[in-house]
Amino acid sequence: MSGASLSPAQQRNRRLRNFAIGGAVAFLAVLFYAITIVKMSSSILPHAP
Amino acid sequence: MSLATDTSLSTAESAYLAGPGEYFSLMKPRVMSLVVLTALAGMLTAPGSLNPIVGFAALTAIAIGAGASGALNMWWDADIDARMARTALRAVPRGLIAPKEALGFGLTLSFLSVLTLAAVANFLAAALLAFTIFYYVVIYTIGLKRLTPQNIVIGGAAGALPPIVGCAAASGGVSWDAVWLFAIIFMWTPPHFWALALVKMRDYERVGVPMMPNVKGPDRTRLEILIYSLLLAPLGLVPFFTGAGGWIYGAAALVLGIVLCVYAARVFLVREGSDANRRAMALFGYSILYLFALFGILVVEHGFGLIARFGL
Repeated sequence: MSGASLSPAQQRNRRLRNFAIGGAVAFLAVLFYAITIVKMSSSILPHAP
Repeated sequence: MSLATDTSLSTAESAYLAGPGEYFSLMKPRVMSLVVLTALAGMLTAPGSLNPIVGFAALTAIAIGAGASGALNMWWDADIDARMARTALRAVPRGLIAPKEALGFGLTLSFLSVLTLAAVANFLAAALLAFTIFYYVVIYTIGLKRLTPQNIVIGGAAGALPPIVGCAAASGGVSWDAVWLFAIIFMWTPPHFWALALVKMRDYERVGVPMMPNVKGPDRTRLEILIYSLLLAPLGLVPFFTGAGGWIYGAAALVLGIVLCVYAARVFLVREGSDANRRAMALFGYSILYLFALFGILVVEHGFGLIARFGL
């Protein structure tokens, strides 16, 4: 496969986009983890002795 | 997609490589900030208590939903945005992002935000957020905007819904306080946008968007701005009387409302020359401050527990 020759600015933009997508996915993973803990805690605590 | 091997890509191909900043600008960050503030006010005035992490996640989802609406709006309006001075520098008209990229970005964020809100809060809030996006994109942007001078009056409901979505996310229902907050934003939208439209009416006329000044005339618009402002000022006080806002809110709403009416009256009285445009832009700027201040005070009062602790 022959790739495109990208200008330095375009390469930089692509790298920044990849970082942004990675950051967004990581943020969502942490957020959903935290939400899961919160929801599990609120379900478990009322049954604790 | 096969990319050419030469060093300079065409506009359509380079659009594929826009940076994250350009994509973020598609989400209309300034509008998003107002949505976050108004949704937060809806959350904090809702009955019951809310876990801060759940509240943060819900607020994030609402903000992303608002951003999705902005991206879809820019996808649909790319043709007229390119011909208006105010919007010509947006990412799609500049060729930095292809319209289909904006569409894909907007749809992805729409689904992500609605599903996230359903997961972290409840289905009512998610359904209301989905309806808000649908209303803004399909009913306002695609339907009303190029059809009627009442576009921003009816379409304003989309911008007014975030407090109701916030309330639903926090409590699972819709309280009267949230409905009053909705009414305040709904009544605020016409004087806010028409003040800008008075100055930009030639732009709107050129691209065929029937805003009030270029359909009914500037004089009629000035009258309607004054009427809406006179209705908005007392409406802004309602949260104080219902107890959603404390004494600080009540005093601020009274003063801010009176000043708003003064600004609107100045627009109504001065109709010729550059001073008329200056006064219209002054009202436009002040109206933003007005809404930010009202909802900001509500958030501060509830967020810091001033009402609960001191009856403020």
